[in-house]
Order: sequence, then structure tokens, then C-alpha cells
Amino acid sequence: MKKYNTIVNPIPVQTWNWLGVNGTKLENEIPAIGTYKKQPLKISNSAVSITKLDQQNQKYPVLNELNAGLNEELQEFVQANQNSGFCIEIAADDQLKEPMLLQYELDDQDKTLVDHHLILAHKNSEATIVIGYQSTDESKGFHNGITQVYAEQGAIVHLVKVQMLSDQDIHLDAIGVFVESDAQVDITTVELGAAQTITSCKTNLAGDNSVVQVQSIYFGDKERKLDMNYVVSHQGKKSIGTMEIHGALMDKSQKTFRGTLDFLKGSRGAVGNEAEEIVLLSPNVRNRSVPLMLSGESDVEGHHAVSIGKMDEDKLFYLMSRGLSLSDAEKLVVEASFQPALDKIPVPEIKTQISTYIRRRLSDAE
Amino acid sequence: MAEKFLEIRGLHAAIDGKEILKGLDLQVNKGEIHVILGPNGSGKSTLMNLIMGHPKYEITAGSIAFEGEDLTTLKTYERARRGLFLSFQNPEEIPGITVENLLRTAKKSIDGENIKIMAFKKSLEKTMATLKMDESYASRYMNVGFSGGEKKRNEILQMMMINPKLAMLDETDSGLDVDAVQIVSAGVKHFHTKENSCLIITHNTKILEHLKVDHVHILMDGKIIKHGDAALIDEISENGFLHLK
Amino acid sequence: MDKKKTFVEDIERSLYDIKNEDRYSYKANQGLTEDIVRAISKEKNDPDWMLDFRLRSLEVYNNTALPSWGPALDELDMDHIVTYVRPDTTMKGDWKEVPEDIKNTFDRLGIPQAEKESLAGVGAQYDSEVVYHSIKEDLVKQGVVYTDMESALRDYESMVKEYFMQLVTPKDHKFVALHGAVWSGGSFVYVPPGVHVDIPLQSYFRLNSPGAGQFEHTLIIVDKEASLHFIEGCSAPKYNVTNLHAGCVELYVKEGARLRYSTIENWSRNMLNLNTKRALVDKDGLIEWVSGSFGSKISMLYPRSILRGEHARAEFTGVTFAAKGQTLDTGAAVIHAAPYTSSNISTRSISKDGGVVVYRGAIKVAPNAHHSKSSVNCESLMLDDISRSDTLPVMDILNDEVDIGHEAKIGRISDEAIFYLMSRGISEEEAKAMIVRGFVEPIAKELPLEYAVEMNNLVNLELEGTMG
Repeated sequence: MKKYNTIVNPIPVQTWNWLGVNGTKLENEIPAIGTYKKQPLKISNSAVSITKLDQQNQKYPVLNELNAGLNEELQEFVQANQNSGFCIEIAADDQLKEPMLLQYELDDQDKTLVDHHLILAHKNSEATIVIGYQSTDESKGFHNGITQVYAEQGAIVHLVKVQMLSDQDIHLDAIGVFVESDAQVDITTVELGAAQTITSCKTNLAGDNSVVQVQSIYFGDKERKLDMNYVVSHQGKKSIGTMEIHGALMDKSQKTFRGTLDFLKGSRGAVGNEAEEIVLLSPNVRNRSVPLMLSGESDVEGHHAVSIGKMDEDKLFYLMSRGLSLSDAEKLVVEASFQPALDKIPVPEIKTQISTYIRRRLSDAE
Repeated sequence: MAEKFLEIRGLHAAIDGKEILKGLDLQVNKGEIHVILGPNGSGKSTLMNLIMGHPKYEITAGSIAFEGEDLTTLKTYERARRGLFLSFQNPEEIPGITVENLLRTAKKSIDGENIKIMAFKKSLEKTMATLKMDESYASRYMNVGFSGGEKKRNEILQMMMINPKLAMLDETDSGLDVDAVQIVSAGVKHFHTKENSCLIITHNTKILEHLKVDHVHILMDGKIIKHGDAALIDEISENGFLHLK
Repeated sequence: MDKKKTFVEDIERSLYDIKNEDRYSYKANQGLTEDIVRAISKEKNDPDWMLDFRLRSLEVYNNTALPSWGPALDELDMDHIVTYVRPDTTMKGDWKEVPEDIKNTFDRLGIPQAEKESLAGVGAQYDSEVVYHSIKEDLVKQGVVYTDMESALRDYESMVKEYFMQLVTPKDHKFVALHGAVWSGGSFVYVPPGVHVDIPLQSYFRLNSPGAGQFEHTLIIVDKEASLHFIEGCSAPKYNVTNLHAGCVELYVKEGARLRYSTIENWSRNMLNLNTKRALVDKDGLIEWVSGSFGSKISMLYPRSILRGEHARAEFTGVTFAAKGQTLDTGAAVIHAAPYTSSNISTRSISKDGGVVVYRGAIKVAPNAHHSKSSVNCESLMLDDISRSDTLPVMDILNDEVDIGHEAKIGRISDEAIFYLMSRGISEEEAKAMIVRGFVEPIAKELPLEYAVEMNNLVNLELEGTMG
């Protein structure tokens, strides 16, 4: 079987090699990619044009604008081996309140998934798309996908990606976002499973007054490995970018999060905020955080904050004063930190699934 | 014949294209105390910031003159050097610059002469004592970590040390407890003489208790709609602004 | 101590730029070959083990690639750097005996004056050798050793051999290997247990010869419960050719000891400053770094603190100001290698006129370093939109019982703050200058007064360009 031999998630600006965060070596076996037989589209919307996205389709030149892929090699791999993919096109001025749902399930029938999606929101439209990845059994599933979001002027897109694959699966996922002027894109990602999770999310705030809000939660346990590379590039004037990442690590899990705020020259009045909060619950975890801030423009406001380890003592004290044990209070605080991202998931069943999963895993801790 | 200090005629001003002041007239003479009352959003702070030359406001019509000189062509620090002072509603925090350092630099810039260190220090100590400010404030960074009330007292400290001709106080009493209002009020009374003037925005009449108020203006919807003397203050206290519309 | 701006400019700038005639008693050939290394070693009367060390370092240098990260070092052409210049004098203990031109240089830099007024000892290096060294009698009586490295190699050979380049080793990176091959000059300090050196010791490094490199080695050992404040200053006149500085600082802070290491670096704009500094801190020890980086064309400077003993602490306070043509890539690294250790990093950086400023940092917590705490705070001020500011921090945490916090901000001088100061009669230019000085104040207040003044002067000098 062929193997990958490549560096993914390269960091925008390199630093000392001994820290091991300049990129991640991918050496996994590449399975033979079969077909994906199930119908993933669970909740559709008649107002929205949902068509198969295949590589021969030259209808969408915007695909070239959107840099997505853990690296060039993997981007080409997805394009060459795609076995599922949708173009979800929302017509101008259509503001859809109901979310659409794509639910993927890896099992004996469908062991491999290479999906490529394009969400194209025309001027002043609004839509929510939820894409979920699950696994029903313990076979070694393989997922490698790309999702591209293009928001035209004034559009609002909310993309939610939930990953609850099983312990042997591999999850490689790249998101690429392009935001025109006055448009807003919300990205919510939930990473809970898989043996190895390698993801990237790159946003180009191209237009003036463009907005992106990224909310991400991850939960590492057992021997999971998570590797993330999120970048927000501010190009348009007064563009606003926010990244809020909450995570918890236990057992022997490991995680590397690279979050970059990049203010390009000319992005006058841009505001970028990045906050990462990680709770560590066992002594054998490894947490790497790389909050980069790059600027070629003086008239900006950039702020990033990282907090690792301790929990908010005031919160714990308050809960304990209401009778909870320290351990119960800690679990509650962790759950509470995930809540803002969970609140953004418009599909109640999925939200419940996630909460239950986290609660169960937390109660296994200690 | 009263000496004209501040003279505003037909002032129209806007911010971000939105008109806030819609034809305002005001005259403050030397030695006078004027009070401006008005509902929130009527343009009171705008007026004071404008007089001080805040770049974000645009004058679309009218004039502002001080001691006969057109202010609109002068930069903010030039206006300060002509004798104007603004006690801000929300004073800026400036880390790394101590209260004392700012005062010394301001005095030097405004008076245009070298400061005699000993005399300055003495004066500072005395003024801080009058305002019941602990001496440790002198070496603290400008407003960093100060409560709202402490920031306001710091503004009055500056006013008393700089000794301007026209002191504009923008809600100086808000955020102060009863004792602090007394102290600030006493400070303003101490400052005020026949040679200088005060223009005061307030919602709280307590600060005016020891002051002899000469004129009261009601500012509503960007214009001065009513003038009066000190009695007008009580009238507004009792009846509010709505009945004037 | 307010000087009028032009007065400061006239005096201070030319002060650093005064070039003396390039007199020397020995100058190595340009380039870096085994023969040159042997010649330097012979010129310095090295013991055999040191010659051996140099040759092994040279080999490592030749087999190591340039770093794959950081600013481009294309203009570094070792073939045209002179690695050793012995000034035309031997080391003196009395300024009167130091040759006129050299003494005048240090006079203008205020070194003899500072020595009289506020220092307990001074080491002055000119090009590749130390020309003057002094230490107050009462310190000598207490057993404090402060001497140049060459003398230390002779008089304290076993101690030097035990510590020399054990903390920073030639294999660490190419420029440490270079240093290992051609190092010369620098200071050796030993403070015996329990001795508190209350007044600072200062070493000043002055590079005069164009196209030369300075590779001084500073080795400081502060024994148990002792304390010391060491100040390092450096400067060079501006030439059109590249000068190189690849110095090395190794600091050993023993149990319960405290060391403060302050640096004001004001190399000229043709200098490549590739310095390596490291501290090893034992139980209950404390290392405090205070650093001001203003000069050099390219600077790569990242003091690293290794907290080896329980309750060891590291504090780093630094300011970096990059103006036209400068790329100042600076930062700090702390390795928490024991429980209950703590670190605090606070940096301020400013860039203007196309200057590039980079904060590069690392906090690493080892698996056994439970109850470690670290707090990092980086703020960056950009004065125009042709400059750059990059913040590249990394946290690698391998224990869960920790409290690690990091915060970074980037921005410009707020209009509101300028308006506020202008409303107090201060001109716009002066308001901006005040705000920038206020911005670097947390670092300035850690320095002894004269150095704080010098730093403020340097800040003012840098701002000159922005003001009309």
C-alpha cells in the first residue's frame, strides 16, 4: 500500500525546528479509495441548488480563489480521488433560516471518504450548512476532504463541521473561505474522535468590512493526536476576524494548534482577535500552541491570548460554594467552556450527541 | 464691559456624516460660570470635544472664537496653549507616563517656560492635598487602574495645576461618591476667579452647590433651546426635559 | 534630564560613529580556514585543549547549514570577515595607561565616568581583546573574580574548562560553532557563595575595525545564595562593509542565587548581530534579563533560560526598536525542567520606516515540571504602514498541573491618546514621543538610571526621523 510522505499544515512563518511545529509529517498509508455509497444529504432545502460537485465541472472559477488543502499534494489528492461532493449554491437575496445537513458515516460498506464541497452564497443570501462525520464500528476508516466557502457581497454563511469518528479512523480535513465585502462567515468546528485529526481552516477576508468568526472545540483523550492550522488573512479594510478555540486534553492525547492572524498591508482598520483556552486533565498529555500574529499594516488592532492548564478559580469556587465537589466543578467548567460553540449548532440531535459524548468522556477521567 | 471669552455662533457640526449640532449659539465671558443641561445624546459632549478640536467632528457651518480669535484653524494643543481646558468624561489611560510627568510636560508646553522643579513639586503636593489625593498617585501611570472617580479627580488636579482661562468640565461628577463630589466642587470653586471661566456639563446639581452659577443653557436636539439663571436648574430637577420639547 | 532634541542628536549619534584609525598589532587574514584558527590560537597562547576545541568547532561549523528560519543572512560572507584583530596595546588596569585614541573612545561613551560613579568593576574590550579591566578592592577581598577570559583561562583553568561552552555548545547552531572556533575576549565572573555584589559590574564591547567580527565570550558563575548585577554594553561605528558579532554568554545561577543581566545593544546599522545567550538556573535561583535592542542591520537574539532546579525563576524584560533597514528578530525562550518553576516574559517592540521587528519565543514545560507557571506578554507598536511586526510564540506543555498564560497585542498609537495629550497643550510630535516612551517604560524602569536615560535617548533618536 502506498504511503504519504509529506509535510502538512505548514506554518505561515517558520520558527525554531526543535519545537516541532513548523509542519507535521504525514506518513500514513493511503488506502484504495472506493465509492461512497450512502446518501449523505439528510436535510435539504428546496430553495437551494444542491448539485454534485465534480472536478470536470468548470462552472465555478471561484474554486481557484479558495486555497484549501492541508498542502498542495493533499489538495491534488482530493481533487483526483473525490468520491462525494456537493455544490450548495444559494441564490442572491435568499435568506434561509433552516439549516442543511450532510451526514457522512464510515463503516464496512463505506471505508473511505474523499469529499469536496463548495458552498457558494450569492449576494445578500444567508444559509447554514452542517456537515457531520461519524463512524459506526471500529474498522479503520479514512477521510480526506476539502470544503470551500465563498461568500459574495453581503452574504452570511454559517458552516458547522462535526467530527465524531471512531478511535481507529483518520480525519484529514481542510476548509477554505473567501469573504467579499460586507459578508460574514461563521465557522464552527467540533473535533471529538479519530485516531489522528489533521485539519486546516484558511480564511481570506478579502472585502472591506468582511467578517469571519471561528469557534472551535476539541476534545483529546486516549491516544488521539490533533493537529490544526487556522489562518485568518486580513486583506479588506475594517475586516474583522475572531477565533475562539476551547479544548480539553486527557489520557495521552496530543494536540498542536497553530492560529495565525495575518494583517496584510492595506487592511486599515482591521480588527483581529484570537483566544485559545485549553484545560489539561492528565499528566501525560502534550499541548502545543502557536498563536502567530503577523502584520504589515500599522492601522490595525490585533490581540491574541492563550490560557493553558488552570481553570478559572472564581468559577470553581462559586460552584463548590453551591455544593459541588472539586472534580464535579471542574467537569462542569469544561462543559461550560464548550457551550458557546455548541450553541451555534442548529441541529438539536447533533448538539445532544456531542454533549453526551463529552460528558461521558469527562466522567471517565479520574 | 464683560470680556468675551468663548463665542459660538450658528454652529452646525457632524460626525460620520450625521449632524449632531444644529445651529448652536453660546457666549461665555470672563469670570462667569455656565452650566449646560440636556438629555443624553443631545450633543453636550460633542460640543466640548469640538471646542477642544477633536478631529473626528466636522464643522459644517458657524464659528467658534476664543478671545476674539477664530479657533477652527487652530490645532488642539494650540487651543490648550490659548487657555482652554477639557476635563474629559472618559479620560484616557496612558501606560508608562506618570501623572507627575504629564503635568510637568503640559505646564511646560502651555506656559512655554522651563519648570522650576522644586516649586512645581510643592505646588503639586499642595494641590493633591486639597483634592485629598494620596501622594502616591503622582507616580502612578496616567489613569491606569484608576476607578472612575479617581480618573475624574485626576482631571481636576490637572485643571488646578494648569490653571486655564476656560475650564470645560464634562460630567466631572459622574462616578464620584458624595465625599468626592464635595471635594471636586470645592476644587472648582477654588479654581474659579474673576479672571477665568467654567463651562460645566452635569446631571447632578450637587457639584454646583458651592458655585455661583451665572447662566444655564438647555441643550436639546443639537441646539440651545432655553437660557436662564440658576433657578432653571431647580426647574429641570423637578420637571425634567420632556415638557420643554 | 531633558535635553533639547537637536542637542541629543548632535552629541549622541556622532558619539557612536567616531572611528579610530585601524591600528592593530595583529590582524588575521580575511576568511575562516584551519590555518587562521590555528594562528589565532597561537597568537593568544591557548592551552592545547582550547586549540583542539577550536578546531573541532570549525569542523562543526563547516558541516552545519544556515538556519532554515528567520531573516535571510545572504550578505554574510565569511570569506571577507576578519575574525581577529588584536589592538595595539596590552590589557591595562589603569585608564591612564590605555592608548590615547582607545581611551578617548571609551571616555566619550561615558565608561570611565560611569565606573567612578556607579560601577564596582569594568571590562572594556576593543576589537578582539580586552584593553582595560578593573574591580574594586573589597570585592576581590570577598573572593569575587572579574577578569578577562584569557586571564581566566590561565588563572582559573579548571573552573573554566568545567563550564566553558557546556551550556551553549558548538553543535547548537552554526554561529555557536563559529564562535567556538574564533572566540576572543569577553569576561569571566565568579561570585562566591553568599557574596552580594551590590554595585553592578559592566563589560563594554567596542568594535572599531571595519569588516571585522567580534566573538567575545562571557562566562558568569554566581554561586549559592550570591547575587550580581552585570551590565553589557556594545557599539561600533558605521561602515559600509558588514561587521559580524557572534558572541556568547553563558550564565550559571546556582542554588538560591540571583543574577541580573542587562544589555543595551546599539550596534551600527551595518552589523549582523547573531548572539547566543543562555542561563542555567538551579533550585531557588533567579535569572533576570533586561534587554534593549536598538542597533544592527540584522539581529538574532533569543536569551534562553533553563530552569533546572525546583522553584527556579526566569524574568525577561525587553524592548526592540527597528527602524529603516533593520530586521530585529529577538525574543526569549524558557525551558521549565523542574517542578514549581516560574517565568515571566514581557516585551515591547516598535517598528518604523520599513523596519522589521519579530518576537520569537518559546515556553517549554517538561513532563516532570508540575506546578510550573508562565506568563508572557508581548506588545508591538507600529508607527507606519511600511514596517512589519511579527509575533511568533510557541508553547509546548507536557504536564497538566500548570498555569500558562500568553497575551500579545499589536497596534498603533491611539488617536484618543494623542488628542488627550494635545488637549494638555502638548504638540502632536511630542505627544507621540511621550506615548512611545511610555510604551517602553516598563523596560526603562528596570535599568539603572544612566542606562534608562541612554535608552530614552535612543528612543528619541529613533523617533527623530518620524518627527518633522
